[in-house]
Amino acid sequence: MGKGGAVADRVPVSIPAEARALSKRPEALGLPRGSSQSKVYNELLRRAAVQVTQDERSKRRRAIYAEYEKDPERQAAITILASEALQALQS
Amino acid sequence: MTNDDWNAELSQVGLIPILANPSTLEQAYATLLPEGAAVAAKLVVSKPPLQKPSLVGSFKRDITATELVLVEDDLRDFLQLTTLLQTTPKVPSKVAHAELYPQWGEIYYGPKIDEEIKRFIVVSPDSWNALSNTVVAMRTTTKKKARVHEFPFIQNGRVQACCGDASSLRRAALKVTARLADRPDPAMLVLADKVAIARGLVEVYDLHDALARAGVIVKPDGTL
Repeated sequence: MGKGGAVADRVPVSIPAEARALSKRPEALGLPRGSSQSKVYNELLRRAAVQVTQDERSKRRRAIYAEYEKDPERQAAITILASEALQALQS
Repeated sequence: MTNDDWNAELSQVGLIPILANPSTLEQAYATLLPEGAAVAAKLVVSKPPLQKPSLVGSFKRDITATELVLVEDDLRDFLQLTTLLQTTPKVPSKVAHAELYPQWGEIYYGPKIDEEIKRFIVVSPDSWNALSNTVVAMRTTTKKKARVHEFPFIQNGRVQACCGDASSLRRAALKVTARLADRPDPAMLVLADKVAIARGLVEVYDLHDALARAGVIVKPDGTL
């Protein structure tokens, strides 16, 4: 690793049992049967990173939306807008 | 069509109705399903299913992945998101029409909410607005909302648009007039504001994949 703390592309890790079990079934990850272990673990790691990012995003959004749910102006607006929407659909 | 985080937390949802007998104009903005035509041009907000007075009743079936792609693409195109969110945003052209009609990207006085006449931004395209008796519009607010794409700051930060409240309104519900004195001031949005609203609509309806299919990459907010 160079100066400045750049992130390394390869690090030694302990492999959890769940990951090890999956490494024997690459097709479960959409990889061809017989794919190398490094390909399997790379795909597992990529999927985990995507999932964690999505979960963080979801948590953040839900907190924002929960606040909007309590917004009195929104509560008044939806009644009017839903009524207008029904008239729009009937017109 | 609103994203599932929205649907989980809010007692309002964004819907595309399925019409049994769509008009020729509606068909131009619709995906044909076994149940009828899902008309993106009639996007509405509603209380959630079974919550009175909801536009939605009981669950019928899950839309297939293929059907969802088509409906999402319709909504993307109807809201003109590809044009606005490409690297160099473009303003869609105006449509000439003999009669006055509510125009895309312009602001009109609309229905009263809490005894106050509210301002609405038209987000449906002029190709629809010129010929239809409904438009899709969203309200704006000066009351502070979260600083996220779904509530973009517009008009030099004075106002926020409520992208998740975009819904069909009858033309008659908006004060459409040639007299600028009878219109909100300002009556039009600058391009940057239109782009910000487009970005907000992508977040509300999770249309990132739909944009990618059109060759425009917009990463979901906060993702890598």
